[in-house]
Amino acid sequence: MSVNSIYLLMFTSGLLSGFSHCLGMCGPLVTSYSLGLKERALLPHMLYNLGRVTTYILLGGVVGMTGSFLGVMAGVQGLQRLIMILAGVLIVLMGLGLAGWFPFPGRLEGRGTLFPGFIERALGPSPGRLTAGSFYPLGVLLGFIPCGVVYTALIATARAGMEAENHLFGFLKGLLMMLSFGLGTMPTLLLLGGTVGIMGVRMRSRLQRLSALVMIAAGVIFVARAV
Amino acid sequence: MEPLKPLFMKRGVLIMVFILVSCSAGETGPSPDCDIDAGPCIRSGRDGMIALEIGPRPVTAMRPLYFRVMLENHRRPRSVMVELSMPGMSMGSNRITLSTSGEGLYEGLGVIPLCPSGRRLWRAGIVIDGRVVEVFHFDVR
Repeated sequence: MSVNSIYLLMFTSGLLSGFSHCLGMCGPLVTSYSLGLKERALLPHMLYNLGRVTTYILLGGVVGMTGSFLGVMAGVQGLQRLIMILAGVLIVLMGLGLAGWFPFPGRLEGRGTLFPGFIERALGPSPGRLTAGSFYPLGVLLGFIPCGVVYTALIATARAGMEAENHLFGFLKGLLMMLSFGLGTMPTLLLLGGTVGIMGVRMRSRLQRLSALVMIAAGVIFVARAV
Repeated sequence: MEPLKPLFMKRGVLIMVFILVSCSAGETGPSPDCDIDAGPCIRSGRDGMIALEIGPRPVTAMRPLYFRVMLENHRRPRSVMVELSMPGMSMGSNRITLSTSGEGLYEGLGVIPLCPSGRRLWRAGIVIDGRVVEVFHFDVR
């Protein structure tokens, strides 16, 4: 297989997987933060996805350099669990906030955001609302969430790393392969975030209660899978 | 711009429905036709017998595994691969290239990734000279 076709294959794999797989893992989160955005802006979605892709690139580089998928995954397993639990708790809190069931409603009133204050402070410098810059670290963090499609892409990267002439080539190849894959997964999540963004305020308020329930359920599932 | 809002809303709902339908498509799929933990999956056809063995047993995701394909009464192939996929879920391309280790015997190493959704059913396609000649479905731990 030629070098170019590997990257094309990785991109296509990401693109196809995005529609059927990534929505299940990242969909609830993207929907929830999209409902919380005041403006119809592309920047937060781009930053969130670039953060996610940054993690994939990092993992790809290390897996490509070492040529070992299982070795690297064993190293990040504990971190993945922790992130799953944190993400699950975050999604549940966002769901509670969206439905107006958050136990400390005073903290949310008039803030124009779904997040409780302590999460906002953890995620961004502005105390009132999430800033665009908060979405990049959020994406970096959530890029570590265990995902079968990402695992498959990393297995392919490890194989390519094993065939590389040296560690540096393996690192670069792995990095570029996972960059191609990550870019392929972006359109679906950008489309989802953008779709929620273009909905009118009335439509959003109709969907809010339903979305809140879905988010709470998704958050509980995230935590249950991690423990 | 105001009259365009309902149009945007409708379009948004349609796109969301499309996304959700494509997400849930293929939820129901085939069931296991072979117990890979009990021994090799064997099938005989017009072209001869094909057996797939995966070990060490029990076959577990996220562990290094050997894949062994045994061919009987087949013409000598140029390439033999095992293509792993999950029915009803796009998991990307996971192809394990096997090399010959005896008459009709092909072996290689690979990993079955873990699906955090809890799904355990996998499909292994035996690819000979670029053509899928046999398919086995089995559960992994």
